[in-house]
Amino acid sequence: MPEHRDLNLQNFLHAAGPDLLEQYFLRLFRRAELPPYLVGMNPDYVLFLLDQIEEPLRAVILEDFRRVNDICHRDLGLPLTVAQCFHVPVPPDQKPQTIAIRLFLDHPKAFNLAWALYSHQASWGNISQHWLQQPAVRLDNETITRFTKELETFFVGRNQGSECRVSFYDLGEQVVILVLHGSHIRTVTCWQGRELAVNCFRQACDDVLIYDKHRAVLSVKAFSRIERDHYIHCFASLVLGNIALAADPERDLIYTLEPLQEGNFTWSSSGPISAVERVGAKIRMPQQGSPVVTIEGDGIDIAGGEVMAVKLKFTVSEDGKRDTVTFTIAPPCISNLVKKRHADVIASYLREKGILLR
Amino acid sequence: MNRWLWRRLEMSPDWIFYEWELRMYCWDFNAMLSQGLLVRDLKAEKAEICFTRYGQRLHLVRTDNAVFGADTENPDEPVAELDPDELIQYRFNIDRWLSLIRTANGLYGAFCRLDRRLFFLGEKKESGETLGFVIGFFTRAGQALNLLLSLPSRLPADFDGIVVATLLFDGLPLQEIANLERLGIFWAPRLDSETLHIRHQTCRTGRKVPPGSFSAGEIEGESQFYGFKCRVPVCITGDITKSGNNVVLVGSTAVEIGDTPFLLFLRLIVELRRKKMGTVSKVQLKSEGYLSEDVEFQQIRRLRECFVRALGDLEPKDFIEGYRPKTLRVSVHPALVSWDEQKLLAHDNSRVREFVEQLLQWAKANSSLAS
Repeated sequence: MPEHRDLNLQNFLHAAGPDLLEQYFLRLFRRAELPPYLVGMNPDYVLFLLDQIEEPLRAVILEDFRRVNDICHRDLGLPLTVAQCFHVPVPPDQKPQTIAIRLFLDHPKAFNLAWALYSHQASWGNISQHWLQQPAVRLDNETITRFTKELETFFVGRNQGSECRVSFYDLGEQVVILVLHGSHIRTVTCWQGRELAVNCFRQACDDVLIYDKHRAVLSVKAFSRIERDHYIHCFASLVLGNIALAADPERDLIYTLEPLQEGNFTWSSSGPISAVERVGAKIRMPQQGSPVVTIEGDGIDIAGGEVMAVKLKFTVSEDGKRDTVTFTIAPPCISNLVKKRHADVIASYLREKGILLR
Repeated sequence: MNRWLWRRLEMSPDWIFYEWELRMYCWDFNAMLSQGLLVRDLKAEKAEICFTRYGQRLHLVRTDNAVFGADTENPDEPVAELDPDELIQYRFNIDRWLSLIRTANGLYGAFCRLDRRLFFLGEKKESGETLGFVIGFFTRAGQALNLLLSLPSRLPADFDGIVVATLLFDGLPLQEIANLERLGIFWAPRLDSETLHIRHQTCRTGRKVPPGSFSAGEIEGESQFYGFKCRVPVCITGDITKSGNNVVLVGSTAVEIGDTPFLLFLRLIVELRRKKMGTVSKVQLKSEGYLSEDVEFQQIRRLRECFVRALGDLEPKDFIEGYRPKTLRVSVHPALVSWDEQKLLAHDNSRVREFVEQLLQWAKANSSLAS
């Protein structure tokens, strides 16, 4: 589930361009059904058109626009990256929204990949990483079918619905898997006029797995702990062909905060990293019942207990610009660093300091 | 054994380990298990809280044949059944490990736990001297110092020296190590992780107690008798900072005290020298002009606040102590208080000079009585 969705319709329509908007609406309506227009559909015309269209079709159109706009989130460059992966020609100086709507209209598979990557980077919660040792993957049709079947059986067995769609994308250095599935049925009591009504619905989940072949690390964005475990086992047994990799004790050993607990550790600046500050920590105390203490700010002694998680603020200076990135590391395998800007630069710094192990 | 395990043992020798984390961080987990160094802790496994490898702290709900975990910090995470293997926990078998250290170092005699963080390992004769061996689980210098200064009272007096080993901690300042050596406590940090050998230097100086002064055992015995709470040496340096404050060393930490609270502090120190209990009634302090009727609590608080940084685990109110109702004292044995008489006799404030003269008189009187 994305963390935040925003759509400024006016800006989006300006960025998308009249030709692509026309192409989109002509998929839904015959030209004769539309009010007359000259060449292409300018933003004012589209706004007028949206006023004429009735629900629920209007909501469907707005949701499409929102999804297209989402993948242009935070200048991540997702539309361009994905277009290049799928060899979609992109004219120079084209706006991300234009590329995104082109992918949506003409290259649905590429658009789904962009959505999966967006979902991975803009989701709530942290992402776990797992070292599976083996760079070689097997991505033939049989593997994909077995993987999908296995997940379907798993979700049906857990009463999470029979709907399960799995998409695989092999991008050379990375394999991206998008899993759309259901969750347990939830009920919500709401007012319908002056009457109380109970609505039952099944929440949809979009889980994303990204396997970095070079590092042999699998990143998992999943809804729950049980699903996360199941994905790792399925991936190791079916895609990597070795179930033992999922049971290796070092599988989850990605981050360690042991260097911080050594008395002489310092965050020195290095390369583009100009400053590092510890802005918070979660500490498991040695007393009976293992109470957990959350502290905020730097300079507090953390030697008295086990550091379960630490929140760090990095200042990165690149091309004369200073940028701050705040993220959390919760060893052995959880962090939201992969979702942040300058993740590669920060990761190599953490590797140098002995905090990132893979 | 590895540093990960030792660091947790330093935090608490009774640390409870999950099997999944031992398998992940301890390459010698199976060897430790077969040596009996890890004991399964069934009581801990029945706790209501469990930590998972995904950084979650789950509240457990048990049914007849299953355990369910609820992540209360993340309500979106569904309650799910836990794999029983995730709950398996071990504690470190300290007694078994201490036996291995004793064997590795050729120690004899009984061994016992002296404190939550201190274990007596045994004794050994070296170069005609009997040495007692102790292992401490420390994470901070203040914590180590407080425990080590109490060692002489916890052990028999017939040791020529006490060797203290640690696991990973090596953060004791040199000055404190020298102070400890004067008390016959020899600092031998960082046990060899492979051989478990305690690398200590032979007692070069032996136990040196200056004539006429107190031995460590006597200081500890009297501290317990009079209820002194601080075991850290206090030195009135006579130095004055640029801002005009007086510098007092508590252990190795420099404390700055303004002139008014400094006079009150010196008055209490003089009382400590005059009679061992060291208490002065507040009425007397008021009549002598050290406390005012209206602001006495603020004045006492101001003096206490000066020592906050230096006392470690000790509360400032236990250092500048109201031992009996309506009285005040410095809660430290007089033998642990020293001063630089030359610098203090050259102090700008005449009342400070008077105090130093009084202190010198009492010191002379005490030494003549002792002789």
